[in-house]
Amino acid sequence: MSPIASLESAYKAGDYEKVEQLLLPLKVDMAKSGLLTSPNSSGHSKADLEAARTALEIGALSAVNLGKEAEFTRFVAQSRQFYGIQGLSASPHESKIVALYLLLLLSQNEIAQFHTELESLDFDTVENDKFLSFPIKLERWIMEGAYDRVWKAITNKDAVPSSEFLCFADPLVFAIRGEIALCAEKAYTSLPLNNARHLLFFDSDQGVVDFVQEQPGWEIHGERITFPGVISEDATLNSRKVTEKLIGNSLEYAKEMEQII
Amino acid sequence: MTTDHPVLAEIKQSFAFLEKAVASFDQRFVLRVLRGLPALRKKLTPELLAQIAVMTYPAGDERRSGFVALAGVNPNTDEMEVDGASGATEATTQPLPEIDMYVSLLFQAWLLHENRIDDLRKLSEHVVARLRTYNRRSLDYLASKIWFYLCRGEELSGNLEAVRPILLASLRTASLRHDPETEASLITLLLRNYLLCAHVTQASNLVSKVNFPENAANALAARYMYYLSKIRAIELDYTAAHAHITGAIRKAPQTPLAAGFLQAAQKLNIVIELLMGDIPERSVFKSGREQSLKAYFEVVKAVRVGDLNQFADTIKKYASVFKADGTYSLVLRLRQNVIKTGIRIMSLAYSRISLKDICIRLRLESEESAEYIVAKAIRDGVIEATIDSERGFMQSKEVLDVYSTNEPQQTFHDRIAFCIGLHNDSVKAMRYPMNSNRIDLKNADEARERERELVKEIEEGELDDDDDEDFDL
Repeated sequence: MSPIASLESAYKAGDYEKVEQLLLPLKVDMAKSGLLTSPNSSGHSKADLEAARTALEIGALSAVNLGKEAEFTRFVAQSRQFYGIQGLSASPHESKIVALYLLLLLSQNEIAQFHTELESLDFDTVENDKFLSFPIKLERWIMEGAYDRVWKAITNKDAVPSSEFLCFADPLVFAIRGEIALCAEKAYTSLPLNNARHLLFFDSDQGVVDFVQEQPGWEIHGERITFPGVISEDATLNSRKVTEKLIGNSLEYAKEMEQII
Repeated sequence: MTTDHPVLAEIKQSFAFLEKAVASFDQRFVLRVLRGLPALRKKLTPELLAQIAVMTYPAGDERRSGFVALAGVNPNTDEMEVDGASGATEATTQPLPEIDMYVSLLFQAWLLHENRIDDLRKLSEHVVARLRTYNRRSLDYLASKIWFYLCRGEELSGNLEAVRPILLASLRTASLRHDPETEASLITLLLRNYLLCAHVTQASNLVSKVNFPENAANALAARYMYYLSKIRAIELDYTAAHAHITGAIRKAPQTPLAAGFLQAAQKLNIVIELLMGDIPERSVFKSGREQSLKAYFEVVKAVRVGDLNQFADTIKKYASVFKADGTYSLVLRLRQNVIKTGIRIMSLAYSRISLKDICIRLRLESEESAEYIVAKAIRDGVIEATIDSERGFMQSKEVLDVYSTNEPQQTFHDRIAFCIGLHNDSVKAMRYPMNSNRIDLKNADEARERERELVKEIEEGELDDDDDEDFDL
């Protein structure tokens, strides 16, 4: 059995540790032949290129399943070198891997990077691809503020396009919880614990209490959470800031005027 | 000898200017030659080009035969004889590198005009190879144009990836040689190259690594700012993008030739302003641009009203336009702004409104979504309100008097900063003819001389005055 085939069978069996072990010698071979650093159609045969691509893609997918984000990022970077090469047959995993990568960026709140990646994709394929359209929908909801839809989409087993996407549910929920907390601070003066539990997607009241204790300034009085009054507290600090800024601006004008004269 | 063809006369004059530029180290002569290039390009014919080649290179030079072959017309020696005594127009000595490059540039421009892309690419390769053997500052302006044609040729034949290494290598050389023109030209070409391939990360990295030369020509600076604005917009840094795009529009040449660029910049500007939450002024859509900006006008209308359905329809209708302009992904991001505008309108109209009503009016999926979306709008500073979660409504705060806040001060500061920036840019954009300081010095000497005489006269006059005073008394 060829190394690639055994790799594939290990992946299909869900034995991701074995995939990792099998990949190690393969990666050394790839590095020796230059496939890892600079794959190109002139120096390598089509079969070699496709085999290397498959190996790296399986590596990426099993890294997701093992929850190793750094490794996943590395595998993605390596396997994406192959996608630009002309003459190779289309990879069955390409859109899935790119979509997972986009999801990772979302969960790390790297929105700028997300859009940069998005720009390099073709719109028509993106909107019709079941994998790629998923992170894009999520991003749109996050930017709108429709967090409940994000939560429903990522935690529901039937809504995600494939099981790997569930691996990002926890970091993503964590990320949007942070966003919601920031919104809640500004939007509510106080909130009953029960409502907060729904709002922040916690299963138990204890989760809410723990979460509240991590937020600076949040307090629990009886059954309600109170948020720090942002405006009243900062008034003196604020006026000082304003004065300093005003002085700074005036000095700047004076300097510029001097230059002109 | 009969009189020359007017175009040939013009080219000969250009040669003279180039020689003068080399002799006097004054780049302005080169600039003057290049300014005439667009008009000249349209008048070129194969016969003329062949004659130019014969006129420039001595017999037996391979460049001469190469160019003549490109022109596709045999060196019509008959006509040469008709024109006058043979040898009168034929070169006998090697041309200056500047003239060599200028002739190459004429050929490049002509080939592009004739749409002979393969020939253009072959020629560009030779020209650039030759160009890189020279190291003369008087070539800078010509070189930047030559690179432009090289890239255009590669772009039209879809060879974007292949041309990058040579561009990067030349950029290195240009910056080592303190050649700002070529540097600026190469940076913009590279950015264009990256953006066409959608390699935004590389483009962004390039921008962070290079210093765009400050004294580059305005047209190049405008182009650079346009690309920069595009990169920043993709990275969601709308404030920076807006600053760059206004700079680009202001710096762009105000001639009909730059209309295409201005239009593209205008489109990007509209989208960026919308993304920042501003509504572009109506005057932008007037002044003869209605047709080209129609799609954007429709988008602005939808965003202003805050109607999601209208927005979706507009996008669907004009999708191909936005895709062609490369603004599609940016326009798609506007969806959230449409929602925010809708919420803002409602917050202004009602002092208290239930989340259910918001949900219905904005055509959202559920009340829960509405609650989150309103909360986010409050956090982003779109509206001043609080949410009552138990009773499920949004309570708008009393509208503050803006004049009691720092808002006017801030706006005033922005305007002053803009004016100061404009002044500084204008000062930097002024050109001073070389050696004029010597004239000033001479003048200063003369002035001093005059002053001395004046002092002398006054001294003498004072004596007279004394006399006068005496007289008056």
